[in-house]
Amino acid sequence: MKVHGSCHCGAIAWEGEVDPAKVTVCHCGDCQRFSGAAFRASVPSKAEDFAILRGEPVRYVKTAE
Amino acid sequence: MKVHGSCHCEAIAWEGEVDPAKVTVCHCGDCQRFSGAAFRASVPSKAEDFAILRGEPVRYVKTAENGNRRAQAFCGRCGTPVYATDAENPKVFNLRIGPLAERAQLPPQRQIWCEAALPWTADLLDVPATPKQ
Repeated sequence: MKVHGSCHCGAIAWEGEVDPAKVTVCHCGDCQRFSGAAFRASVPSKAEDFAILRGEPVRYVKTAE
Repeated sequence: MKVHGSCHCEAIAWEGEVDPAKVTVCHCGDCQRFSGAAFRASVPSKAEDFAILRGEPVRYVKTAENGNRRAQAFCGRCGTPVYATDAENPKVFNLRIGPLAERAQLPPQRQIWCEAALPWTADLLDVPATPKQ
């Protein structure tokens, strides 16, 4: 399934190919913090199927447990 | 109730006084986008009861459907959301629940923008679950 993303201010846009059967919700403490709410939800896209179309995201590296 | 917040990289820390009866979940499209998930949860703290103890959040101003200009504050380094407030007249700060140490004691008391809610949020408890990974 093709997905299309863009940030709220429109500076960054991306697209990717994903398998809807792989959508996962994560309830870990880091996800609570990063989302500002209770969990994060994500779906994987292989590097060859993912592209940033516009802009450049900031990256922050965290070390997991 | 006193709450204590800090972003993931610890650059920013804040504290505030909140009323746990005022915790709200918002399902609007903007909140889905900003959270990276399905909704945001927040609780208000009056300006006189709220303080940034360390660091300085980045502010991004969004204009709501009703014309309200809301400043969204977040850590520019790690992306952790901190609060939202009126862009010109910050009398109340809506603190995001996620980065608060007391988040487990702040269950939501009401939900807004339910017409925009992702339909699966109501069924999340039925999704297969594991304690860790």
